[in-house]
Amino acid sequence: MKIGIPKALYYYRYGTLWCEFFRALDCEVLLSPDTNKEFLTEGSKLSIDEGCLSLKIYLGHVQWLLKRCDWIFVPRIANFGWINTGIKKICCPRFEALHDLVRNTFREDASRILGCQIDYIDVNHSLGTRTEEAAFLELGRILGKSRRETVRAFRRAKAADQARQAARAQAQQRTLSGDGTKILLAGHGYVLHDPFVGVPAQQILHGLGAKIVYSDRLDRAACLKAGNELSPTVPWEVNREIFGAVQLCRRQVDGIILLSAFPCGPDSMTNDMLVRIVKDVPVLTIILDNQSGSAGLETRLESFVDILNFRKAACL
Amino acid sequence: MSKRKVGFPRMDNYNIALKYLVENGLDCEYVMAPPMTRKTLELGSKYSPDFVCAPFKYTLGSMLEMLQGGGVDAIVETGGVCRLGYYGELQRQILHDLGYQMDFVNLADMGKHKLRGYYAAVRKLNPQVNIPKAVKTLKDAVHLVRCIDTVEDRVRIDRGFENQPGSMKAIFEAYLQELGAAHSRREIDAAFQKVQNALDAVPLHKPEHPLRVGIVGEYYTVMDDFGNHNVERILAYMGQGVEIHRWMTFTHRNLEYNEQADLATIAPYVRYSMGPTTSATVAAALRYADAGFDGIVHVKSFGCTPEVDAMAVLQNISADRKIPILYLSYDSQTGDAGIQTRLEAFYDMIDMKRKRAV
Repeated sequence: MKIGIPKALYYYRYGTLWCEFFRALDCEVLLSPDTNKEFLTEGSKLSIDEGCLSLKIYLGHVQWLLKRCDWIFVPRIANFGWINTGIKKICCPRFEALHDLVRNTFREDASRILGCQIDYIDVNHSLGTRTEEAAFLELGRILGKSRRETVRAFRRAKAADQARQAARAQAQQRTLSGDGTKILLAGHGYVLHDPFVGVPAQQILHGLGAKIVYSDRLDRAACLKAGNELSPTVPWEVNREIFGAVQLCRRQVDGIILLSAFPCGPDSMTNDMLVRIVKDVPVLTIILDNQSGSAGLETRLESFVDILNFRKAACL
Repeated sequence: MSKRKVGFPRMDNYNIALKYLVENGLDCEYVMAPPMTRKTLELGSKYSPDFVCAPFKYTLGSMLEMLQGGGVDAIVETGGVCRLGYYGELQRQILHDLGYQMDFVNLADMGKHKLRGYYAAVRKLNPQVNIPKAVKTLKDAVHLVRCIDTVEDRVRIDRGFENQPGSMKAIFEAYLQELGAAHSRREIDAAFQKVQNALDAVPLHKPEHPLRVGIVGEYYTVMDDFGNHNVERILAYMGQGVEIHRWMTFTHRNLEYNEQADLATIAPYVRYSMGPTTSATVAAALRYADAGFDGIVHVKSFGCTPEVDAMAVLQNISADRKIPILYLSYDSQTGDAGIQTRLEAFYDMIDMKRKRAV
C-alpha cells in the first residue's frame, strides 16, 4: 500500500511523525518532490483565488501524488487543547478545513483521501474530542492494522519526532551562542523551509554572511510558554511559538525577520503586534506572494543586514 | 459618583441590546457608537494591519469614532473562534499606541473560564454591580435580540413587494428607536407586538412564486448592512421584487446552534467540521438549494479563511444542484457601484433562468 504525503504545509511540522508512523506499519510512503513553479501554477488553478500561497502550493502537491499513490494523507487538525491560562491552542482554521477542502477539490478521488482528526476541545461540544493518539489509532483501523501494532507504531514515530526536534533545538542553541550577525527568521515552518518560498530568502541571508536561527526549530514547549509574556491571548499555536521565539532570542540576535505568505490570516495580525511591541531589536516584515522575481527581496534583505552590521559595529 | 460611560464597537442593530444590558443591568451609561460611514472605515483602515479582515477595520474605526467623540471610560471587545479571538488584544495595543487612556475590556481574555471571566469583566465596568439584577437583565437583552432577529427576518422576506417601497424599513427603524428607549421586558414585548401589527398592515403585491435568494457567509459581514453594502436591500427591490432569506443571525448562530445537525445534512459533501461558521454556511446553502431557491449569494470579507474554504464546497453544491451562487468578497476598497453591477447581473441571470424554466 502506497501512501502519499504532500511535502507542504504541516509536513514541515509533523513530517517525521507521519512518515515514521506509516513506515512502522509497513506502508510505503511517497513524498512529493520539492516545490517548484509548476506546483504553484497547477495549485493556483485548483484553488479559490483568495487561498493563501501555501494552500495553492499544497494543492499542487496533492495533484502530483494522486497519479502515483493509493492514498493521500490529509488530516484534519483543529486544535491541541488549552494552555494553562485558559486560552485555546488552535491551528489556523485552514488545517481544520483541509481534509474536506481537498476532498471537495479532487472530487473524483475523494475516497482516496486518507484522514483522521485531531481535536482536543471540540469547540461546538457536539463532535467528540480526539487526541493525537486517538487520531492515529483511527488511522490504523482504516489501514486494517491491529490496535497493538498501531500503538507501537505511534509511540515509535513520536519518539523519532521528539529526537529530531531535540537535535534541531540543540543546533539552534549553538548558533545562538556563536559569533557573527545573527538573525531570527520567524514564521510558519511551511513558509520558512519551502524550497520555493522561504529557502531563497535563507540562501540570500547565508550569502550575506548572516547566521540564521529558525523560530520553528527552537524548543517548542519553551517558546509556547514564553509567548505568553508577549501576547497572552494569541490563539494560534504556531504564532504563540513565534512570539515565544522572539521573546527568548531577542537579547541574543541582531535582528528579526518575520516571513509570511500572502494573505496569511494569523500573521496578518501577529506581525503587526510584534512590530508594535518589540522595540529593542530591528524587525523586518516580508510578505511573499506568487509573484516571481527575487530582486526586490534581495535588496530588502541586503539593506537589512547592512543596518544590522552597522549597528553591531557602532556598539562595539 | 457619576456613572461610567461604556461603549462597544458598532455591529448592525445589536448595539440596542447591549445598550439595554449596560444601562439597565450594569448601571452604566452606554455610549452608542455612531452609525458606520465611509469615514469610519477610512479611520479604521489607517491604523489597522494591511491585510487583516475588514471587520477588524470596521470595529477599530468604530472605536476611534467613539473615542474622538470624547467621554468614553471603557470599551468592550468580544472574543470569537477565528481571527476575532485576537481582535481585542491588537485593538487595545493600537489604541494604546495612539495615546488613548480608557479602560479596555477584552472578553477574549477569559479564555475557557467564561463565567469567571464575565464576572470579572462586569466588576471592572461597575464594581458595585448588582449581580442578580444583571443576570435578569441579560436574559431580557437576549430576548430583545431574538425579537429583533424575528422582525428583521420578516422585513427581509417581504420588503421587495411593498406597494410603497421603503415602508417596512420605516416601520423597522421606528421599532429600533422604541427598543432603544425600553427599560423592561414588558416594554420590549409591547414594542414587538406593535411592530408585528404594523408589518401586518403593510400592503404587499407578492406573486405566488416570487424569486427567492438565500444569503450565506461570514458572521460579521453577512449581518452588517454597512459592511456588506446593503446587499439584501438592493437585491430585494430588483425587478418584480425578490424574497431574501438569511439563516445567519445572532439568535441562530449563538443561541440555538447545533452543529451536529448541520453536519448530518451536509455529510454528502463534508466529513468533519471545517471551522467557525463553515458548517452553517454550507448547510444553509444546501437547504436553499433543496428548497428550490433561484440563487445564493455568498458574502465574506476578503481573505476570511473559513469562508474561503467553504467556497470549495459551495462550488460543488452549485454544480450538482444547478443553483447559481454569487461570491462577494469585501475589503476596505470595495465600492457601492461594483456591488450594484454584480447584483444586477446576478438578478438578470436568475430571472432569465426562471423564465426559461417556465
